[in-house]
Amino acid sequence: MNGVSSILSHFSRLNLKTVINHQIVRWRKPRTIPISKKKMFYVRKPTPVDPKEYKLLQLWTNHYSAEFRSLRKLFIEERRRLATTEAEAVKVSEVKEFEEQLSLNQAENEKTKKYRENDMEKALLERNLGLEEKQMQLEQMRREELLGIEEIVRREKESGQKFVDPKNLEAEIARALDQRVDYNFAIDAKGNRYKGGELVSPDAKEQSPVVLQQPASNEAPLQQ
Amino acid sequence: MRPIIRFAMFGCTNRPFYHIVCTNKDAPRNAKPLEQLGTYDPLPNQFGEILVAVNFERIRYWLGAGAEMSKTTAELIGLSGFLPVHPRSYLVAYRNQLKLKAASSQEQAASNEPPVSGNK
Repeated sequence: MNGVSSILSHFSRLNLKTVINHQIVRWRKPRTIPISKKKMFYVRKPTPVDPKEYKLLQLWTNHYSAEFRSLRKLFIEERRRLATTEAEAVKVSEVKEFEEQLSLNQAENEKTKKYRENDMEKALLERNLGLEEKQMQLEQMRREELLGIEEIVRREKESGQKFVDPKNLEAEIARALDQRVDYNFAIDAKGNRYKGGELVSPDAKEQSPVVLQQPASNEAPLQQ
Repeated sequence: MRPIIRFAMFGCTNRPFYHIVCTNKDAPRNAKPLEQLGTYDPLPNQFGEILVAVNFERIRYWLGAGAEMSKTTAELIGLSGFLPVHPRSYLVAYRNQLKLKAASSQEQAASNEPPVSGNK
């Protein structure tokens, strides 16, 4: 508040008729210090103006301002008018563009639809073919199964013929008793049998031992 | 926004070059403008021409949008005929005329004067 009072006191010393605007803001000096004596009552001299020139300038400036104002009004009106017409034109063009785009889109959709349907047909066909193939494969497998079963049945029937009945019983007993089996052979890892240094039966599937003698009776055939 | 059409000075020392620019009045001189409307090269080229490029169409638009014009820009465009001739151009012409008159009257006065004798 000290500063404000000093400022007010400065103003009271000034001649208010001559001074119009006096700002107590100086970047180098603080506000509390008074204005220097030299600068206190300084009044600026107005720039020299030639009265003839001044009059001419006034006239020219008035004419110029009037013309410029009219031009500005013209441009404003023009802009407003263009804005409305342009807006309408833009709307129309937008609608047209939208319709064009729509038709293009529809055409494209139809094209892709064709491709899609083609692909789907092909896929269906392939799937069906696949199914048929699988069916055939299944049937083949069943047939093979049946064959296998038949084979088994056949084998069993065959081996059934060799079963010992009460009829064959005594003959079989006699045959078995008369049979002599020779186990005096060497065998290697592969199942080859050697007798006296020579190969006897190279077939590894033969499991039964070597039979030496034929039985005396002719009723039951020999099994090798 | 207060648009104004004015010059933005580019170039370098002793070689100014102006862009005629529509920009915000509060913006710095060379800031990115709303729109560039032309160029002005104040130094004459090899053919003695001072070249100015102006986009009148866009100036119409911006004046219609309420843009001000700086004094120098108005003077320049006034010389082209798009705007009326600026009072300052008339003033400059008037002063030049006065100078010419003064110069010619001095010459006449100098020619009409009797020759001054050196020794007496």
